[in-house]
Amino acid sequence: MANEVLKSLEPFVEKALKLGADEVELFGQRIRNKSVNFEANTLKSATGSILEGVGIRVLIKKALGFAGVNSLDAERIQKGIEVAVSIAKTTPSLDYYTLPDPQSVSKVAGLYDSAIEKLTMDDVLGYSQNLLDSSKAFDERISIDAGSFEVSTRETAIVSSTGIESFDLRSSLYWFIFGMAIDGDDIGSFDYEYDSVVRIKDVDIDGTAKKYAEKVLRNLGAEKTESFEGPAIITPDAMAELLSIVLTAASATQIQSGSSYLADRLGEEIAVPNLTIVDDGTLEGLTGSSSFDREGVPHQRHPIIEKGVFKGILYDTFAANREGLSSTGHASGDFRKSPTISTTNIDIAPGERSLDDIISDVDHGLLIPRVSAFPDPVSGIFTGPVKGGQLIKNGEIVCTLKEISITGNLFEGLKNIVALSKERKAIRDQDNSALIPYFKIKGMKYAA
Amino acid sequence: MKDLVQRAIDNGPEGVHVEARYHQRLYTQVRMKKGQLEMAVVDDFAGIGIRVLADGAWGYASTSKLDRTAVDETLENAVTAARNLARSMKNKIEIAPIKPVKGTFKSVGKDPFENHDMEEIVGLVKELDSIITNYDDKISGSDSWVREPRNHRIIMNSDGTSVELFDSRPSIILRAVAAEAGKIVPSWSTYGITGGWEIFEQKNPLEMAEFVADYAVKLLDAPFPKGGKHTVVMEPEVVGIICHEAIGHTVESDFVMSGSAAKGKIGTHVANEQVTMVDSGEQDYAAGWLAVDDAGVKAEKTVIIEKGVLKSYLHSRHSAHHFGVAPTGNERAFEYDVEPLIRMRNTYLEPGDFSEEELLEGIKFGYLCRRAGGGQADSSAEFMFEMTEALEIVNGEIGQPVRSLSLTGNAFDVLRSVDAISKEWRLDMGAGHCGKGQLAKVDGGGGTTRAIALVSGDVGGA
Repeated sequence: MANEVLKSLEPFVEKALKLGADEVELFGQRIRNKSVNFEANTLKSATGSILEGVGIRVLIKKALGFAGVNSLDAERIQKGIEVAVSIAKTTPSLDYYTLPDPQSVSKVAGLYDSAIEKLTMDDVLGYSQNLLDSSKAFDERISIDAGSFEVSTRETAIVSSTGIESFDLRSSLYWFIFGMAIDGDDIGSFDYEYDSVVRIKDVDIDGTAKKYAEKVLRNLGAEKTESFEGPAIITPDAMAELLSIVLTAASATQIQSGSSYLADRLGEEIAVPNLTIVDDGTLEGLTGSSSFDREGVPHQRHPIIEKGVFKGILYDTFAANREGLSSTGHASGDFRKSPTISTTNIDIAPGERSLDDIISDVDHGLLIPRVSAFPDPVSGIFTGPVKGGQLIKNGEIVCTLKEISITGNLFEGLKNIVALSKERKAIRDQDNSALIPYFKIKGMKYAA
Repeated sequence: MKDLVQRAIDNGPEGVHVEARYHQRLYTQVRMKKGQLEMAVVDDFAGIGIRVLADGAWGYASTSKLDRTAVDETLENAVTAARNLARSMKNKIEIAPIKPVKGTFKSVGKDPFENHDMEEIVGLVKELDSIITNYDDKISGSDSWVREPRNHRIIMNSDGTSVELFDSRPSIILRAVAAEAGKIVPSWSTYGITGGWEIFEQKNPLEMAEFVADYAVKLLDAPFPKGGKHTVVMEPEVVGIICHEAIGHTVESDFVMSGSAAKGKIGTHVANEQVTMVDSGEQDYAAGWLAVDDAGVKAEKTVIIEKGVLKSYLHSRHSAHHFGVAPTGNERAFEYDVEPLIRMRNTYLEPGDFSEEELLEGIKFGYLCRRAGGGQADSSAEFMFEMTEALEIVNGEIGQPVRSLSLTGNAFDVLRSVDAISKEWRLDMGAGHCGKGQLAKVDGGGGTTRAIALVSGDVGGA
């Protein structure tokens, strides 16, 4: 069964070449999924699905065409090839558009837990019920708007006219919970918690429930304050969202399209010396790992920022070809569109001080669990209300704040990091993960 | 295909409510960044989704195999899932009755996209990319993206609804990046409708490309806004985002049932009496056009706020039963493989009596908020919206553009502060999607509206 997806793709390389493609790549997936969902504090629905499909990328005279079909049936794949070929006849040629050559692919260990295949809908229901019940059990003021627990197994296969032929199998469990706490007329800010693991033994529902409960309860009883200036201690959750724009800026397509502040900065000091960020899609047992990327290229350990210096641009094959380089294995995406560049498992080196210690020397500052903002990956600017902000005075957390906004430039902020905590949080979803410490950044401005 | 969908309804076990839906989403996208074609894609995503209500629990299953055996298995999987779940359900789900709907509904425009081939779309995107890239030496980056999802749905349910729907929802998204002396800024221009190629007559894409490049260059010298409470004049797109994000989500009844800020407020004053807010699927060309929802319920025009008083939430059949009202036709699923959720359609403020000039009169200093980017709202109705185009208003006149302005505040407070709404009215936020676990095409707008809101402050540097 494991090779069924690969087998259904194999005959079509030849067929695509016959139809006029100079190069072709077929990327197929079959994802089996079971989930139990809850809504408005009660179980709601159970769903079971099998999603399968093929993404077909063809090059004709170095011009690109792509078609996606949600089926492994020969007839649909054939039709998809015809569509991709017809598209490639209308697009401009780019001399660096060639597909990757095969490289030796070694299986990343610990990405498949056969026990997950055996989980029944009742098992999934049990996990889901547990997440709902144990979150609510913390405090009667906790309300749950939505959540789910889902299990999936994913078969991924790729074949190409350059000789790539690989297959990967991965299982995952994912759960999330979203809502708020309500105390009479006091409706706290919403918050959420999620996690994803590859093996059943790593599931920690109680841990997620506890973190969720702590977040939403903390958001109650928020007070107003005056505008002020002072250091921010940014939680791993908030940092994950903010840092995503630095990772976007490090992608080769962003740089090549003239839309990144990191253009021409390779080797330059862009952050304080204690910041090191590494991406690694080869780590055992993590959701961001896989044996090969979206175009069949193996991942690698790839430092992005090392001791404050910008070290690594993220490449897929087209972007690397353009500069005469090799792909770094960062092509990503599903079978429904052509590959784009993204990270896998991010590891940010921890600092030496504990969070408590870092808080203890803040005279007047803010611990920031979430910023309601859309950080701009071009300019680095982020602006928006701080959610669940913890006012720190004389080294201690005093209260939760409301109606307070932060505005800053993250790219400049990287040079103003004054401490990283030794504690790190694993932030994991179905396709990537990150290990992030608390960041203390000096001189932030807060408007009330 | 109708036979297969009908089969799922006919084979539903006794006492089980069945909804079956065939949905093909054929999605064309062409995207080019500074001369590099990033995407020329056609994604064909089709299948049948079956939702059943058995023993007080929902079960959902879907298949991309379109034959009788697959439909039978999918129905069985949905029923089994529901029955498994039902054993643990403390609160059984019940649904409100509906009038069945029949017929064919179409919104693909006068000049459907299917009359235009890939070559024409690629040609247009190339031209847009070239206009932006070559506009000025200070332009460092460009991103031009045209996309057209084309939907075909067949929706049936046990109550006798049997409808077929066709729509096409094209949009255009342009970004220019300007850079000078270490400073780098983006600007955006977007537009989207439900309809055909006439999208490019309603909004000239070549002019959009020139505008976006020109505005990026202007932003290089633009100051940041002055932080604090200001009078803001919000054009329809921004009004639409407030209606959608800050009020709309709090009146989605799943969110009400878990305790949103709108809970228990029906019949109370929540806004200035000039404010009448509606959610409706009926407008031609609006990106949130909807005739019948994915549960097979006719999409009604729902008055959420009438002259300042909260009148209605947005309902599913389940929430309608819970609140003892009629369903509003807001249950929507993005694609065949996901179950319907309560979603908005076109959410807007009804027009007022003012001319747009009158809105600016007498404002000593404030901001004209023209176009919005991202937005988010909290359970408490506290919101933030980022503007992609905002200008100063000085002594009643439109002044210079400002960078990175974001509006924050409590939506109900802002609506109470509304003191004028213009006669001119349009829906104008059709390019993006609303995200709620799954995506949905929505639209929003209204008359240009004057209110008081908190503007994010000067960041200095950068």
